[in-house]
Amino acid sequence: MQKIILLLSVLAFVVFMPFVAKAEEGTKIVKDGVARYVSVKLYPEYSHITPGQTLRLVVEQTIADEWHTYWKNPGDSGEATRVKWNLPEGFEGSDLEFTSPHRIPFGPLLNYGYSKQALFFANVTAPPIINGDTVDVKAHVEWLVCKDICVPEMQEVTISLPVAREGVNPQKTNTDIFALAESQLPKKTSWNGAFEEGDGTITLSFNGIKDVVAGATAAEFFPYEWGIILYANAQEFTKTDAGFSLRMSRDTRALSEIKSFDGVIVLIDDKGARTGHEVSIPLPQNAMVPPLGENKKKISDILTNDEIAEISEKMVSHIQGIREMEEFDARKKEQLSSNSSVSHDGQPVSDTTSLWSALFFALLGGIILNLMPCVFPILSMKALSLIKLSDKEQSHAVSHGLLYTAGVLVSFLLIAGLLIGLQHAGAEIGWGFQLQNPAVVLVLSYLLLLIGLNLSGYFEITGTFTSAGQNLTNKHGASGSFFTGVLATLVATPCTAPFMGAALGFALVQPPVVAMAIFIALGFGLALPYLALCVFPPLRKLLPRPGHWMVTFKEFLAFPMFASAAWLLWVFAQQITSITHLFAGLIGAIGIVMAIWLWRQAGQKLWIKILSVLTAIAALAFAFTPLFAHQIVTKISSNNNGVIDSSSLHGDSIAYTKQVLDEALAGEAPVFVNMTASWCITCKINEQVALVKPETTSLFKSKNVKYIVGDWTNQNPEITAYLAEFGRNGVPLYVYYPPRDMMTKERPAPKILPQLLSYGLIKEALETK
Amino acid sequence: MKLLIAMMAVMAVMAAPLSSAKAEGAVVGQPAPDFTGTDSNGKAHKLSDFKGKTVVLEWTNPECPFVVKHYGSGNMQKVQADAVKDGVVWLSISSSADGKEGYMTGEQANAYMTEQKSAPTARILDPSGEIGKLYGAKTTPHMFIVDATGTLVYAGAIDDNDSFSPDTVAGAKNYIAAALADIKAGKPVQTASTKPYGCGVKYKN
Repeated sequence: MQKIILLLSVLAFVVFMPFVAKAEEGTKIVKDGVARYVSVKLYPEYSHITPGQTLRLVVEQTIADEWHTYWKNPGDSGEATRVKWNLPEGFEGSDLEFTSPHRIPFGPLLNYGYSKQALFFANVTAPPIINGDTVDVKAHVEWLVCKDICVPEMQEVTISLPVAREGVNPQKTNTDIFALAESQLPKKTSWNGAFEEGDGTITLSFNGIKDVVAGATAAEFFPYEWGIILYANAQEFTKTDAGFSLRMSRDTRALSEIKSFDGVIVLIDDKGARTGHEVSIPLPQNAMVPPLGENKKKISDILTNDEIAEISEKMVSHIQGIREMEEFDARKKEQLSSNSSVSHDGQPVSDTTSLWSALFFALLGGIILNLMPCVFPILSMKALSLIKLSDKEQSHAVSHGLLYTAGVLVSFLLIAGLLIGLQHAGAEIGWGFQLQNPAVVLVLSYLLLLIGLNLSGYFEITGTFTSAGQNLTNKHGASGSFFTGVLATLVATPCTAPFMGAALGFALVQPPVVAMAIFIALGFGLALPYLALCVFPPLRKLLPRPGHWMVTFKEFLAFPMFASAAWLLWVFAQQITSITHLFAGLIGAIGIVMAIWLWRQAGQKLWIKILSVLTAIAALAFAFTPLFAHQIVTKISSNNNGVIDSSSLHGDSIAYTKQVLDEALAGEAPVFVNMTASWCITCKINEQVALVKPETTSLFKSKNVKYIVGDWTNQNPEITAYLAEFGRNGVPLYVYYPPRDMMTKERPAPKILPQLLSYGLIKEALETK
Repeated sequence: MKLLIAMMAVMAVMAAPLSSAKAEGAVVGQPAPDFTGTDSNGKAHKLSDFKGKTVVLEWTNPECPFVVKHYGSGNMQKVQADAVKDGVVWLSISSSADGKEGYMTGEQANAYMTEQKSAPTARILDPSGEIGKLYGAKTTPHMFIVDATGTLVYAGAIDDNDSFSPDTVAGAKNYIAAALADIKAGKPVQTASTKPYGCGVKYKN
């Protein structure tokens, strides 16, 4: 028994971990209140700056996971990090000295750069006489950081250093990071390299360095010059008697344009340790003279016309074949990948083959869902209740299995229908949209906590999912089975969202009938294991004998539930804007547990039952009120530097500042907020097709809408904070605040509009209550 | 699945000797590879149909900071308009795959061009990346010029300042304007090949 529990714990962990890892992807690093993908720090080598001396610095970039910055030759695309110094008169700052780069593939292209952390050296030279006691060393560092997209960023970093006067002995500082950076810096070498150009190749060979390459199993060459080698192609490393050779593919830039072939060779040992060596390879005399291409023979000089025709025909059919496979592959990927987003206008599945495979994978996905930490415990309990069933009761078992399946399918169809309906109304949503709202996440987290408490025996409710299976013979059990199916679907959603998100996203761009079919397949997969147990008695023989262990097992199953609840709280913590909301959420949980405890004490005493309900209500109010309130109650920031690019303003719009919005919201009239930026293409297109249209302008006029435009083209902390209030970190964001209700004097919750706007959507938002 | 991988491997090996020349992309001084592309209005354009005219190919992606630098400052539109006025055919090409940054439908692309006041001869949509890979287009922007005889006479950057900062446009030497002036004067293009700079083209994986 212990072994089984151990195994299950491990399984739960394995299933669980990828979610945690995945949700962390590409998170920005927040430093000094500004969210960036990269943050920069300066480290001086000595505690003091000495007149007339050069001080060495390490510049460190900390890079968000999966993003990268570039080496001095960025490879196929990108731009190297650079520094501009802002120093007192007489001081001089150097360019950056780059540590050895890495190869970073990007589709068919390849970049040279750094992930996670990049270290550079730089020098600041002081004049012989320094006035004052301290010197501010200011660096303006700018870089391009890319993942699938590229973002230019910059940061001003300043360190203040005391000036070393006579009698002061500057101390070495930051020795660890200097040692690390030093180890990554390419070593200067005087290796004898030979350059040889072959047919479409360049081979570099080095001799007399046997000891250096002894441990190396691979090598990478990073040239300083562009256009000489094809970066993306593999480099072929061969050990020779006295050294090694490296064969690369030739790009087309003429060798006459460069003086010598210089760069960094990184040797990699079998443990993956990298050591960089700076090399300079003279070009052979003959390589200097003819620019490439001029003495290349034309293809028609070598082959006859028939041969050319034959070859091109072959090529066409090869390319055709490869293209078909690529398309097939791309479709597969779309169905399976869990984090690629699928756009609205994705191609519908045209042939039945891929529909069948989509259905198959949906079914498989559904079966796997049974193992999810949120679903597994419920189903195990259901399955175990079947053990006690005798063969005579088989017909009941079948009907309960079918009812359970029906419960799952109906829930899936409801959710799918809702999603498809919303999508056709133009909303940009996908599976998991429920989880984008922190309130829903908190509700689900409480639900899982309750199920966990129930499993661990803290309280019992008659007729719940766990006992439903035990009453198979009475009528009560029938609806129980159906609702177990509903419950299984409900608690499965937090697990489906990250796991099945993209696959279901794919389903949603298909015609509604196909999408429904995929949802049904998924739901059927979820129901299948339990249904099979119900329908085929021999399968039940495989389950262990009933006994006291079932109670232990049931109690154990509470832990995956608690873990799921904890995970949801973690998701919740990232959606909220203030840590106070998390505290309120946790207090809410404690309040709920307390309410249950009170209920258990109550017996027949009504007043304790009432107290219990009141506690529950108070707990929920305490947990949820701040979530809804914070969107409206906001501090008035003193920072009012909202310089507005006039090109973003149009019609009767008002430039956004926090104060303007707060004043508008204090009034009666409806408010429409448009957060835009001149570099945001989606925003501009939306303005073109929806916002600056005459009918929109007149609609706003007729409804007396205050139209507020915030321009996020430049850093604007007020707008950043506003976006964060809505859980966004980018534009566009469109928010509509309905007019104050005449009866209650309350303003209804603001509505967030989709990122792809149309006049119809705006009209709908303004006209529906 | 194994069969599929095996077939792919065989294909790759068979295609390798033939495609190695192709992978290099277009070579300055050689005939420019011919292609047919569909523009944002659904109209097909064939490069070889423009024989007798100078053709500029501009790889672009509206959301790339380097493209934003040249469009935001109006620089690209100006070079474009001057060229088109001189009878040059200007094809802006987007090889962003569906779902990747910069991908647009024809309608979105037209709205973008109106918004940016950009008026190339046509905007070719190449979401399969076929034309991009044929030319070895690596960055946005990445520029190519094909002369009246169909020979590639320029490949590389738009100008000589590879910063993404918009204030570097003013002092930079524009290679395209210079090359078009050379061609107009009947001279060989002086700077025929430069290092392209920018964001990577968002090809289909």
